[in-house]
Amino acid sequence: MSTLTSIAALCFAYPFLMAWYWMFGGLMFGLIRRKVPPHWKPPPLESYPLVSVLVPCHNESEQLDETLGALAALAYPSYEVIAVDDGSTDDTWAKLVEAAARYPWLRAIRLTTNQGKSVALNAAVALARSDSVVCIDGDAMLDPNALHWMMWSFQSDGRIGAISGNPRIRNRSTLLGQMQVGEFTSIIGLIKRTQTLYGVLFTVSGVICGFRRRALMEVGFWSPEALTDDVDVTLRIQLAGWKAVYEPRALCWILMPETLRGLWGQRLRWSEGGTQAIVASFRSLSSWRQLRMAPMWINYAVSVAWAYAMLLSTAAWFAALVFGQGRYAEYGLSPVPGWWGSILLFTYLLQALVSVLLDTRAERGLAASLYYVIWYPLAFWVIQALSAVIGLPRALLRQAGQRGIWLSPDRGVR
Amino acid sequence: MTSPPGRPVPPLIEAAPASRLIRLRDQLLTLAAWGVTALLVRNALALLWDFFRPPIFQLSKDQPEWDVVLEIVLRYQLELQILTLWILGWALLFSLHRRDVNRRDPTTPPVLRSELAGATGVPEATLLSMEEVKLIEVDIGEEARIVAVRPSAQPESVA
Repeated sequence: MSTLTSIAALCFAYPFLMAWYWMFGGLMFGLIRRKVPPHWKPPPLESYPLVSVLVPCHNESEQLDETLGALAALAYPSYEVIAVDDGSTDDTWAKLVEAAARYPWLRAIRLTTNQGKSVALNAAVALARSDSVVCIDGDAMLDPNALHWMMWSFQSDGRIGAISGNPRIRNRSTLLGQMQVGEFTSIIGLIKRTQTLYGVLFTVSGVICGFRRRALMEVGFWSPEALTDDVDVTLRIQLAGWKAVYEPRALCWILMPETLRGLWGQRLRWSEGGTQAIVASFRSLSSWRQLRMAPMWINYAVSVAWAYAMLLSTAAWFAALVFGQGRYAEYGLSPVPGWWGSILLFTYLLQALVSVLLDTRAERGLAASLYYVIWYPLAFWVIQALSAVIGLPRALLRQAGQRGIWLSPDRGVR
Repeated sequence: MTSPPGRPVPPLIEAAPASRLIRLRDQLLTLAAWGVTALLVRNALALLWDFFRPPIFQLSKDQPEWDVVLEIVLRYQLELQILTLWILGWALLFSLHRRDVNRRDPTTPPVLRSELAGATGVPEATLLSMEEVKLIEVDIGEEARIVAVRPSAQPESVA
Protein backbone atom coordinates (compact mmCIF):
# COMPACT_ATOMS: atom_id res chain seq x y z
CA MET A 1 0.00 0.00 0.00
CA SER A 2 1.51 3.34 -0.98
CA THR A 3 1.85 6.18 1.49
CA LEU A 4 -0.91 8.15 -0.19
CA THR A 5 -3.25 5.17 -0.08
CA SER A 6 -2.52 4.70 3.62
CA ILE A 7 -3.24 8.35 4.27
CA ALA A 8 -6.48 8.15 2.32
CA ALA A 9 -7.43 5.03 4.27
CA LEU A 10 -6.86 6.86 7.55
CA CYS A 11 -8.93 9.83 6.33
CA PHE A 12 -11.87 7.54 5.78
CA ALA A 13 -11.42 4.83 8.38
CA TYR A 14 -11.00 6.98 11.50
CA PRO A 15 -14.25 8.99 11.29
CA PHE A 16 -16.14 6.02 9.84
CA LEU A 17 -15.15 3.52 12.54
CA MET A 18 -15.38 6.00 15.41
CA ALA A 19 -18.82 7.19 14.32
CA TRP A 20 -20.16 3.65 14.56
CA TYR A 21 -18.29 3.09 17.83
CA TRP A 22 -19.75 6.24 19.36
CA MET A 23 -23.24 5.50 18.09
CA PHE A 24 -23.14 2.01 19.50
CA GLY A 25 -21.65 3.23 22.79
CA GLY A 26 -24.20 6.03 23.08
CA LEU A 27 -27.09 3.67 22.44
CA MET A 28 -25.77 1.15 24.98
CA PHE A 29 -25.40 3.93 27.54
CA GLY A 30 -28.98 5.04 26.88
CA LEU A 31 -30.22 1.45 27.10
CA ILE A 32 -28.50 0.79 30.42
CA ARG A 33 -29.89 4.02 31.87
CA ARG A 34 -33.33 3.72 30.28
CA LYS A 35 -35.04 3.61 33.69
CA VAL A 36 -33.33 6.75 34.97
CA PRO A 37 -36.01 9.47 35.18
CA PRO A 38 -35.83 12.57 32.98
CA HIS A 39 -33.74 15.52 34.13
CA TRP A 40 -36.65 17.57 35.38
CA LYS A 41 -37.84 14.72 37.66
CA PRO A 42 -34.74 13.61 39.64
CA PRO A 43 -35.08 10.63 41.99
CA PRO A 44 -34.84 11.19 45.76
CA LEU A 45 -31.33 10.98 47.23
CA GLU A 46 -30.13 9.01 50.27
CA SER A 47 -29.08 12.30 51.83
CA TYR A 48 -28.69 15.92 50.80
CA PRO A 49 -25.23 17.01 51.96
CA LEU A 50 -23.98 20.54 51.44
CA VAL A 51 -22.62 21.21 47.94
CA SER A 52 -20.24 24.07 47.14
CA VAL A 53 -20.73 25.65 43.72
CA LEU A 54 -17.54 27.37 42.57
CA VAL A 55 -17.88 30.21 40.06
CA PRO A 56 -14.60 31.74 38.86
CA CYS A 57 -15.21 35.15 37.28
CA HIS A 58 -13.06 37.48 35.26
CA ASN A 59 -14.83 40.56 33.92
CA GLU A 60 -18.23 38.88 34.16
CA SER A 61 -20.18 41.94 35.23
CA GLU A 62 -22.64 41.71 32.33
CA GLN A 63 -23.38 38.01 32.85
CA LEU A 64 -23.46 37.81 36.64
CA ASP A 65 -27.13 38.67 37.14
CA GLU A 66 -28.21 35.77 34.94
CA THR A 67 -25.69 33.37 36.46
CA LEU A 68 -26.66 34.21 40.04
CA GLY A 69 -30.34 34.29 39.12
CA ALA A 70 -30.09 30.68 37.90
CA LEU A 71 -28.22 29.70 41.06
CA ALA A 72 -30.98 31.27 43.16
CA ALA A 73 -33.46 28.95 41.44
CA LEU A 74 -31.63 25.70 42.26
CA ALA A 75 -33.95 22.98 43.52
CA TYR A 76 -31.26 21.35 45.70
CA PRO A 77 -31.93 22.08 49.40
CA SER A 78 -28.40 22.62 50.73
CA TYR A 79 -25.76 24.55 48.81
CA GLU A 80 -23.37 27.46 48.98
CA VAL A 81 -21.96 29.42 46.06
CA ILE A 82 -18.39 30.70 46.11
CA ALA A 83 -17.79 33.26 43.39
CA VAL A 84 -14.19 34.25 42.80
CA ASP A 85 -13.37 37.58 41.24
CA ASP A 86 -9.99 37.00 39.64
CA GLY A 87 -8.65 40.53 39.39
CA SER A 88 -11.45 41.83 37.14
CA THR A 89 -11.08 45.28 35.65
CA ASP A 90 -14.84 45.87 35.41
CA ASP A 91 -17.29 46.09 38.33
CA THR A 92 -17.57 42.33 38.88
CA TRP A 93 -16.43 42.67 42.50
CA ALA A 94 -18.93 45.45 43.27
CA LYS A 95 -21.71 43.28 41.86
CA LEU A 96 -20.59 40.33 43.95
CA VAL A 97 -20.51 42.41 47.12
CA GLU A 98 -24.03 43.60 46.41
CA ALA A 99 -25.22 40.08 45.60
CA ALA A 100 -23.58 38.62 48.71
CA ALA A 101 -25.72 40.93 50.82
CA ARG A 102 -28.82 39.77 48.97
CA TYR A 103 -28.22 36.01 48.79
CA PRO A 104 -27.50 34.11 52.03
CA TRP A 105 -25.90 31.26 50.11
CA LEU A 106 -23.33 33.42 48.31
CA ARG A 107 -19.74 34.00 49.45
CA ALA A 108 -17.34 36.03 47.37
CA ILE A 109 -13.57 35.82 47.13
CA ARG A 110 -11.42 38.50 45.57
CA LEU A 111 -7.97 37.68 44.25
CA THR A 112 -6.00 40.86 44.52
CA THR A 113 -4.20 40.18 41.23
CA ASN A 114 -5.33 38.36 38.12
CA GLN A 115 -4.15 34.74 38.31
CA GLY A 116 -6.10 32.60 35.86
CA LYS A 117 -8.99 30.18 36.20
CA SER A 118 -7.03 27.34 37.82
CA VAL A 119 -5.73 29.51 40.66
CA ALA A 120 -9.19 31.04 41.16
CA LEU A 121 -10.67 27.55 41.49
CA ASN A 122 -7.89 26.49 43.86
CA ALA A 123 -8.68 29.44 46.14
CA ALA A 124 -12.40 28.61 46.04
CA VAL A 125 -12.00 24.91 46.78
CA ALA A 126 -9.69 25.68 49.71
CA LEU A 127 -12.34 27.88 51.31
CA ALA A 128 -15.35 25.75 50.39
CA ARG A 129 -17.28 24.18 53.22
CA SER A 130 -18.24 21.04 51.36
CA ASP A 131 -16.31 18.03 50.08
CA SER A 132 -18.48 17.94 46.97
CA VAL A 133 -17.83 20.82 44.62
CA VAL A 134 -19.52 21.75 41.37
CA CYS A 135 -17.76 24.22 39.08
CA ILE A 136 -19.46 26.41 36.51
CA ASP A 137 -18.26 29.35 34.45
CA GLY A 138 -19.23 32.90 35.33
CA ASP A 139 -21.46 33.16 32.25
CA ALA A 140 -23.22 29.81 32.62
CA MET A 141 -26.74 29.13 33.89
CA LEU A 142 -27.05 26.01 35.98
CA ASP A 143 -30.24 23.99 35.53
CA PRO A 144 -32.39 23.89 38.70
CA ASN A 145 -31.86 20.11 39.07
CA ALA A 146 -28.19 19.94 38.09
CA LEU A 147 -26.83 19.71 41.65
CA HIS A 148 -29.30 16.97 42.41
CA TRP A 149 -28.05 14.89 39.48
CA MET A 150 -24.41 15.53 40.36
CA MET A 151 -25.00 14.26 43.90
CA TRP A 152 -27.05 11.33 42.58
CA SER A 153 -24.01 10.34 40.55
CA PHE A 154 -21.56 10.83 43.44
CA GLN A 155 -23.75 8.80 45.77
CA SER A 156 -23.87 5.92 43.29
CA ASP A 157 -20.15 5.14 43.57
CA GLY A 158 -17.57 6.27 46.10
CA ARG A 159 -14.75 6.01 43.57
CA ILE A 160 -16.18 8.66 41.27
CA GLY A 161 -13.82 11.61 41.58
CA ALA A 162 -15.04 13.75 38.68
CA ILE A 163 -18.35 14.18 36.86
CA SER A 164 -18.96 15.94 33.61
CA GLY A 165 -22.30 17.66 33.29
CA ASN A 166 -24.15 18.26 30.03
CA PRO A 167 -23.53 21.75 28.61
CA ARG A 168 -26.32 22.99 26.34
CA ILE A 169 -25.81 25.95 24.08
CA ARG A 170 -28.06 28.96 24.73
CA ASN A 171 -27.16 31.29 21.90
CA ARG A 172 -28.53 30.17 18.55
CA SER A 173 -29.07 33.41 16.72
CA THR A 174 -26.54 32.71 14.02
CA LEU A 175 -25.45 29.88 11.79
CA LEU A 176 -22.29 29.33 13.87
CA GLY A 177 -24.38 29.01 17.02
CA GLN A 178 -26.69 26.47 15.38
CA MET A 179 -23.74 24.47 14.05
CA GLN A 180 -22.33 24.14 17.54
CA VAL A 181 -25.66 22.90 18.91
CA GLY A 182 -25.41 20.05 16.42
CA GLU A 183 -21.76 19.46 17.24
CA PHE A 184 -22.28 19.37 21.02
CA THR A 185 -25.11 16.90 20.63
CA SER A 186 -23.93 14.66 17.84
CA ILE A 187 -20.26 14.44 18.71
CA ILE A 188 -19.38 15.54 22.25
CA GLY A 189 -22.40 13.96 23.95
CA LEU A 190 -21.96 10.63 22.17
CA ILE A 191 -18.21 10.49 22.86
CA LYS A 192 -18.73 11.15 26.58
CA ARG A 193 -21.43 8.50 26.85
CA THR A 194 -19.18 5.94 25.16
CA GLN A 195 -16.13 6.91 27.23
CA THR A 196 -18.17 6.54 30.43
CA LEU A 197 -18.97 2.95 29.51
CA TYR A 198 -15.29 2.23 29.05
CA GLY A 199 -14.47 4.08 32.26
CA VAL A 200 -12.02 6.71 31.04
CA LEU A 201 -13.19 10.20 30.17
CA PHE A 202 -10.97 12.45 28.06
CA THR A 203 -12.32 15.48 29.88
CA VAL A 204 -15.12 16.80 32.00
CA SER A 205 -16.75 19.94 30.60
CA GLY A 206 -15.05 22.80 32.43
CA VAL A 207 -18.23 24.84 32.23
CA ILE A 208 -20.18 22.28 34.31
CA CYS A 209 -18.33 19.67 36.29
CA GLY A 210 -18.35 18.15 39.74
CA PHE A 211 -15.46 16.90 41.87
CA ARG A 212 -14.84 15.19 45.16
CA ARG A 213 -12.51 17.46 47.07
CA ARG A 214 -10.47 14.43 48.15
CA ALA A 215 -9.78 13.52 44.54
CA LEU A 216 -8.72 17.09 43.77
CA MET A 217 -6.52 17.19 46.85
CA GLU A 218 -4.78 13.94 45.93
CA VAL A 219 -3.74 15.35 42.56
CA GLY A 220 -2.71 18.77 43.88
CA PHE A 221 -5.86 20.60 42.67
CA TRP A 222 -5.94 22.50 39.35
CA SER A 223 -2.67 23.18 37.59
CA PRO A 224 -1.93 26.88 36.96
CA GLU A 225 0.09 25.87 33.90
CA ALA A 226 -2.74 24.02 32.18
CA LEU A 227 -4.21 25.73 29.14
CA THR A 228 -7.32 23.61 29.45
CA ASP A 229 -7.76 23.14 33.19
CA ASP A 230 -10.62 20.69 32.71
CA VAL A 231 -8.74 18.21 30.50
CA ASP A 232 -5.66 18.37 32.69
CA VAL A 233 -7.43 17.78 36.00
CA THR A 234 -9.65 15.00 34.57
CA LEU A 235 -6.65 13.06 33.32
CA ARG A 236 -4.72 13.47 36.57
CA ILE A 237 -7.69 12.42 38.69
CA GLN A 238 -8.08 9.25 36.63
CA LEU A 239 -4.35 8.55 36.74
CA ALA A 240 -4.68 8.71 40.54
CA GLY A 241 -7.19 5.85 40.36
CA TRP A 242 -10.45 7.79 40.56
CA LYS A 243 -13.25 7.46 38.06
CA ALA A 244 -14.60 10.20 35.83
CA VAL A 245 -18.12 9.84 34.44
CA TYR A 246 -20.65 11.73 32.32
CA GLU A 247 -24.01 12.70 33.78
CA PRO A 248 -26.14 13.86 30.83
CA ARG A 249 -28.99 14.97 33.10
CA ALA A 250 -26.89 17.57 34.93
CA LEU A 251 -27.61 20.41 32.53
CA CYS A 252 -26.00 23.80 32.27
CA TRP A 253 -26.89 26.50 29.74
CA ILE A 254 -23.81 28.06 28.20
CA LEU A 255 -22.76 30.77 25.76
CA MET A 256 -20.56 29.88 22.82
CA PRO A 257 -18.69 32.00 20.26
CA GLU A 258 -20.71 33.19 17.30
CA THR A 259 -17.89 34.71 15.28
CA LEU A 260 -15.32 32.76 13.29
CA ARG A 261 -12.51 34.54 15.09
CA GLY A 262 -13.94 33.68 18.52
CA LEU A 263 -14.60 30.08 17.52
CA TRP A 264 -11.13 29.64 16.06
CA GLY A 265 -9.48 31.04 19.20
CA GLN A 266 -11.51 28.69 21.38
CA ARG A 267 -10.83 25.60 19.29
CA LEU A 268 -7.12 26.33 19.02
CA ARG A 269 -6.89 26.65 22.81
CA TRP A 270 -8.82 23.40 23.26
CA SER A 271 -6.53 21.63 20.84
CA GLU A 272 -3.31 23.02 22.27
CA GLY A 273 -4.46 22.44 25.85
CA GLY A 274 -5.67 18.92 25.07
CA THR A 275 -2.33 17.96 23.60
CA GLN A 276 -0.49 19.58 26.50
CA ALA A 277 -2.56 17.58 29.01
CA ILE A 278 -2.23 14.31 27.09
CA VAL A 279 1.55 14.65 26.88
CA ALA A 280 1.76 15.56 30.58
CA SER A 281 -0.42 12.62 31.60
CA PHE A 282 1.63 10.23 29.47
CA ARG A 283 4.82 11.47 31.11
CA SER A 284 3.42 10.93 34.58
CA LEU A 285 2.75 7.23 34.01
CA SER A 286 3.97 5.38 37.06
CA SER A 287 2.15 2.05 37.21
CA TRP A 288 0.75 -0.62 34.91
CA ARG A 289 -2.76 0.04 36.20
CA GLN A 290 -2.63 3.46 34.57
CA LEU A 291 -2.39 1.78 31.20
CA ARG A 292 -6.19 1.58 31.26
CA MET A 293 -5.89 5.12 29.86
CA ALA A 294 -4.08 3.75 26.79
CA PRO A 295 -7.13 3.48 24.48
CA MET A 296 -7.92 7.13 25.16
CA TRP A 297 -4.34 8.19 24.43
CA ILE A 298 -4.33 6.13 21.23
CA ASN A 299 -7.63 7.64 20.14
CA TYR A 300 -6.29 11.14 20.72
CA ALA A 301 -3.08 10.41 18.81
CA VAL A 302 -5.02 8.93 15.90
CA SER A 303 -7.40 11.90 15.84
CA VAL A 304 -4.45 14.29 15.52
CA ALA A 305 -2.88 12.05 12.87
CA TRP A 306 -6.22 12.12 11.05
CA ALA A 307 -6.15 15.94 11.02
CA TYR A 308 -2.69 15.88 9.46
CA ALA A 309 -3.79 13.20 7.01
CA MET A 310 -6.72 15.31 5.90
CA LEU A 311 -4.43 18.27 5.38
CA LEU A 312 -1.96 16.21 3.37
CA SER A 313 -4.73 14.61 1.33
CA THR A 314 -6.27 17.93 0.44
CA ALA A 315 -2.84 19.34 -0.44
CA ALA A 316 -2.13 16.29 -2.65
CA TRP A 317 -5.48 16.65 -4.39
CA PHE A 318 -4.86 20.34 -4.94
CA ALA A 319 -1.37 19.62 -6.30
CA ALA A 320 -2.81 17.00 -8.66
CA LEU A 321 -5.43 19.46 -9.81
CA VAL A 322 -2.86 22.19 -10.47
CA PHE A 323 -0.37 19.90 -12.20
CA GLY A 324 -3.03 18.09 -14.17
CA GLN A 325 -2.74 14.68 -12.57
CA GLY A 326 -6.24 13.86 -11.47
CA ARG A 327 -5.29 10.25 -10.77
CA TYR A 328 -5.02 10.96 -7.04
CA ALA A 329 -8.79 11.07 -6.92
CA GLU A 330 -8.87 7.30 -7.17
CA TYR A 331 -7.35 7.12 -3.70
CA GLY A 332 -10.26 9.05 -2.28
CA LEU A 333 -8.18 12.17 -1.73
CA SER A 334 -10.58 14.57 -3.35
CA PRO A 335 -12.59 16.69 -0.89
CA VAL A 336 -15.50 16.36 -3.32
CA PRO A 337 -17.28 13.26 -2.03
CA GLY A 338 -17.25 10.17 -4.20
CA TRP A 339 -18.43 6.86 -2.82
CA TRP A 340 -16.11 7.11 0.18
CA GLY A 341 -17.33 10.59 1.00
CA SER A 342 -20.95 9.56 0.51
CA ILE A 343 -20.60 6.70 2.98
CA LEU A 344 -18.99 9.05 5.51
CA LEU A 345 -21.73 11.63 5.01
CA PHE A 346 -24.55 9.15 5.55
CA THR A 347 -22.76 7.71 8.56
CA TYR A 348 -22.47 11.18 10.07
CA LEU A 349 -26.13 11.99 9.40
CA LEU A 350 -27.12 8.74 11.10
CA GLN A 351 -24.87 9.65 14.02
CA ALA A 352 -26.58 13.04 14.32
CA LEU A 353 -29.98 11.34 14.30
CA VAL A 354 -28.97 8.87 17.01
CA SER A 355 -27.56 11.61 19.21
CA VAL A 356 -30.64 13.78 18.89
CA LEU A 357 -32.69 10.75 19.85
CA LEU A 358 -30.57 10.35 22.99
CA ASP A 359 -30.46 14.03 23.93
CA THR A 360 -34.01 14.92 23.13
CA ARG A 361 -35.06 14.07 26.69
CA ALA A 362 -32.64 16.70 27.95
CA GLU A 363 -33.74 19.35 25.53
CA ARG A 364 -37.03 19.54 23.76
CA GLY A 365 -37.09 20.86 20.22
CA LEU A 366 -33.59 19.58 19.60
CA ALA A 367 -34.69 17.85 16.41
CA ALA A 368 -34.87 21.29 14.77
CA SER A 369 -31.08 21.50 15.05
CA LEU A 370 -30.84 18.56 12.62
CA TYR A 371 -31.52 21.04 9.84
CA TYR A 372 -28.14 22.65 10.48
CA VAL A 373 -26.04 19.48 10.98
CA ILE A 374 -25.19 19.47 7.28
CA TRP A 375 -22.60 22.16 7.98
CA TYR A 376 -20.45 19.82 10.04
CA PRO A 377 -19.48 17.36 7.28
CA LEU A 378 -19.48 20.15 4.71
CA ALA A 379 -17.36 22.80 6.44
CA PHE A 380 -17.22 22.81 10.22
CA TRP A 381 -14.80 19.87 10.49
CA VAL A 382 -12.17 22.02 8.74
CA ILE A 383 -11.92 24.24 11.84
CA GLN A 384 -11.46 21.16 14.01
CA ALA A 385 -8.81 19.64 11.75
CA LEU A 386 -6.88 22.88 11.33
CA SER A 387 -6.91 23.62 15.05
CA ALA A 388 -5.54 20.11 15.74
CA VAL A 389 -2.80 20.56 13.14
CA ILE A 390 -1.71 23.92 14.55
CA GLY A 391 -2.35 23.02 18.19
CA LEU A 392 0.10 20.11 18.23
CA PRO A 393 3.32 22.05 17.53
CA ARG A 394 2.15 24.93 19.73
CA ALA A 395 1.64 22.54 22.64
CA LEU A 396 4.96 20.79 22.11
CA LEU A 397 6.87 24.06 21.80
CA ARG A 398 5.16 25.68 24.77
CA GLN A 399 7.64 26.63 27.47
CA ALA A 400 7.48 24.59 30.67
CA GLY A 401 6.09 26.56 33.59
CA GLN A 402 4.18 29.02 31.40
CA ARG A 403 0.91 29.98 33.15
CA GLY A 404 -2.53 29.47 31.63
CA ILE A 405 -4.36 32.78 31.28
CA TRP A 406 -7.93 34.03 31.05
CA LEU A 407 -9.20 34.82 27.61
CA SER A 408 -12.08 37.21 27.09
CA PRO A 409 -14.41 34.86 25.25
CA ASP A 410 -16.74 35.68 22.43
CA ARG A 411 -20.14 35.15 24.02
CA GLY A 412 -22.17 35.26 20.89
CA VAL A 413 -24.84 37.60 19.60
CA ARG A 414 -27.23 38.76 22.34
CA MET B 1 -45.62 23.14 22.82
CA THR B 2 -46.28 22.79 26.53
CA SER B 3 -43.72 21.85 29.16
CA PRO B 4 -44.25 18.82 31.36
CA PRO B 5 -45.09 19.83 34.96
CA GLY B 6 -42.02 21.12 36.77
CA ARG B 7 -39.91 21.14 33.64
CA PRO B 8 -38.16 24.50 33.30
CA VAL B 9 -38.08 26.27 29.98
CA PRO B 10 -34.51 26.42 28.60
CA PRO B 11 -33.10 29.97 28.65
CA LEU B 12 -32.32 29.93 24.94
CA ILE B 13 -31.27 33.03 23.03
CA GLU B 14 -32.73 32.27 19.65
CA ALA B 15 -33.73 34.62 16.91
CA ALA B 16 -34.45 37.78 18.87
CA PRO B 17 -31.14 39.63 18.36
CA ALA B 18 -30.75 38.62 14.71
CA SER B 19 -32.80 40.42 12.08
CA ARG B 20 -35.37 38.55 10.03
CA LEU B 21 -33.15 39.01 7.00
CA ILE B 22 -30.18 37.32 8.66
CA ARG B 23 -32.34 34.44 9.82
CA LEU B 24 -33.70 34.02 6.31
CA ARG B 25 -30.16 34.18 4.88
CA ASP B 26 -28.96 31.45 7.28
CA GLN B 27 -31.91 29.23 6.47
CA LEU B 28 -31.44 29.68 2.73
CA LEU B 29 -27.69 29.07 3.01
CA THR B 30 -28.35 25.88 4.92
CA LEU B 31 -30.94 24.80 2.37
CA ALA B 32 -28.34 25.45 -0.34
CA ALA B 33 -25.80 23.41 1.64
CA TRP B 34 -28.22 20.47 1.68
CA GLY B 35 -28.80 20.97 -2.03
CA VAL B 36 -25.09 21.03 -2.89
CA THR B 37 -24.48 17.98 -0.73
CA ALA B 38 -27.33 16.10 -2.34
CA LEU B 39 -25.90 16.95 -5.74
CA LEU B 40 -22.46 15.71 -4.77
CA VAL B 41 -23.77 12.43 -3.42
CA ARG B 42 -26.51 11.94 -6.02
CA ASN B 43 -25.24 8.48 -6.99
CA ALA B 44 -25.46 7.30 -3.42
CA LEU B 45 -28.93 8.81 -3.07
CA ALA B 46 -30.08 7.03 -6.23
CA LEU B 47 -28.72 3.78 -4.86
CA LEU B 48 -30.47 4.28 -1.52
CA TRP B 49 -33.72 5.17 -3.27
CA ASP B 50 -33.44 2.02 -5.32
CA PHE B 51 -32.72 -0.06 -2.24
CA PHE B 52 -35.53 1.27 -0.06
CA ARG B 53 -38.37 1.61 -2.56
CA PRO B 54 -40.71 -1.36 -3.15
CA PRO B 55 -39.70 -4.11 -3.44
CA ILE B 56 -37.80 -3.01 -0.39
CA PHE B 57 -34.22 -4.15 0.30
CA GLN B 58 -33.76 -5.21 -3.29
CA LEU B 59 -31.95 -3.46 -6.07
CA SER B 60 -34.40 -3.33 -8.94
CA LYS B 61 -31.77 -2.91 -11.62
CA ASP B 62 -28.17 -3.80 -12.04
CA GLN B 63 -26.19 -1.55 -9.70
CA PRO B 64 -22.49 -2.10 -10.13
CA GLU B 65 -21.86 0.73 -7.61
CA TRP B 66 -23.37 -1.39 -4.90
CA ASP B 67 -20.31 -3.60 -5.09
CA VAL B 68 -18.10 -0.56 -4.60
CA VAL B 69 -20.01 0.47 -1.48
CA LEU B 70 -19.92 -3.04 -0.08
CA GLU B 71 -16.23 -3.33 -0.82
CA ILE B 72 -15.50 -0.11 1.07
CA VAL B 73 -17.61 -1.01 4.09
CA LEU B 74 -16.53 -4.65 4.25
CA ARG B 75 -12.91 -3.60 4.14
CA TYR B 76 -13.33 -2.34 7.69
CA GLN B 77 -15.71 -4.97 8.99
CA LEU B 78 -13.09 -6.64 11.17
CA GLU B 79 -12.16 -3.37 12.89
CA LEU B 80 -15.84 -2.55 13.27
CA GLN B 81 -16.56 -5.92 14.86
CA ILE B 82 -13.62 -5.56 17.26
CA LEU B 83 -14.72 -2.07 18.33
CA THR B 84 -18.32 -3.22 18.74
CA LEU B 85 -17.34 -6.22 20.86
CA TRP B 86 -14.96 -4.05 22.89
CA ILE B 87 -17.60 -1.49 23.83
CA LEU B 88 -20.24 -4.19 24.29
CA GLY B 89 -17.96 -5.88 26.83
CA TRP B 90 -17.40 -2.63 28.69
CA ALA B 91 -21.11 -1.83 28.58
CA LEU B 92 -21.79 -5.19 30.21
CA LEU B 93 -19.22 -4.49 32.93
CA PHE B 94 -20.64 -0.99 33.40
CA SER B 95 -24.12 -2.40 33.78
CA LEU B 96 -23.03 -5.08 36.29
CA HIS B 97 -20.96 -2.56 38.23
CA ARG B 98 -23.93 -0.18 38.52
CA ARG B 99 -25.89 -2.94 40.24
CA ASP B 100 -22.92 -3.91 42.37
CA VAL B 101 -22.11 -0.47 43.78
CA ASN B 102 -25.62 -0.15 45.12
CA ARG B 103 -24.78 -2.95 47.54
CA ARG B 104 -21.53 -1.34 48.69
CA ASP B 105 -20.90 1.64 50.89
CA PRO B 106 -20.53 4.51 48.42
CA THR B 107 -19.12 6.99 50.94
CA THR B 108 -15.65 8.51 50.75
CA PRO B 109 -13.89 9.66 53.93
CA PRO B 110 -14.33 13.41 54.42
CA VAL B 111 -11.37 15.72 53.93
CA LEU B 112 -10.17 16.79 57.37
CA ARG B 113 -9.46 20.46 57.86
CA SER B 114 -5.89 19.60 58.83
CA GLU B 115 -5.46 17.71 55.54
CA LEU B 116 -6.84 20.64 53.59
CA ALA B 117 -4.56 23.04 55.42
CA GLY B 118 -1.57 20.88 54.55
CA ALA B 119 -2.57 20.65 50.90
CA THR B 120 -3.42 24.32 50.36
CA GLY B 121 -0.88 25.96 52.66
CA VAL B 122 -3.65 27.89 54.45
CA PRO B 123 -3.47 27.52 58.25
CA GLU B 124 -6.20 25.38 59.79
CA ALA B 125 -7.36 28.22 62.03
CA THR B 126 -7.72 30.52 59.02
CA LEU B 127 -9.76 27.93 57.14
CA LEU B 128 -12.05 27.59 60.15
CA SER B 129 -12.46 31.32 60.68
CA MET B 130 -13.18 31.98 56.99
CA GLU B 131 -16.09 29.51 56.89
CA GLU B 132 -18.37 32.17 58.30
CA VAL B 133 -17.04 35.08 56.26
CA LYS B 134 -18.94 36.17 53.17
CA LEU B 135 -16.42 38.51 51.55
CA ILE B 136 -12.83 37.34 51.46
CA GLU B 137 -9.59 38.63 49.95
CA VAL B 138 -6.86 36.25 48.92
CA ASP B 139 -3.25 37.01 48.01
CA ILE B 140 -1.47 34.62 45.69
CA GLY B 141 2.30 34.18 45.73
CA GLU B 142 4.70 33.68 42.86
CA GLU B 143 4.28 29.91 42.96
CA ALA B 144 0.55 30.39 42.38
CA ARG B 145 -0.17 29.33 45.96
CA ILE B 146 -2.28 31.12 48.54
CA VAL B 147 -0.09 33.29 50.79
CA ALA B 148 -2.70 35.30 52.68
CA VAL B 149 -6.44 35.07 53.37
CA ARG B 150 -8.38 37.79 55.15
CA PRO B 151 -11.90 39.16 55.40
CA SER B 152 -12.54 41.80 52.78
CA ALA B 153 -12.95 45.46 53.65
CA GLN B 154 -16.73 44.95 53.81
CA PRO B 155 -16.96 42.03 56.22
CA GLU B 156 -20.33 40.50 56.69
CA SER B 157 -21.20 37.34 58.58
CA VAL B 158 -23.17 34.53 57.03
CA ALA B 159 -26.76 34.86 58.08
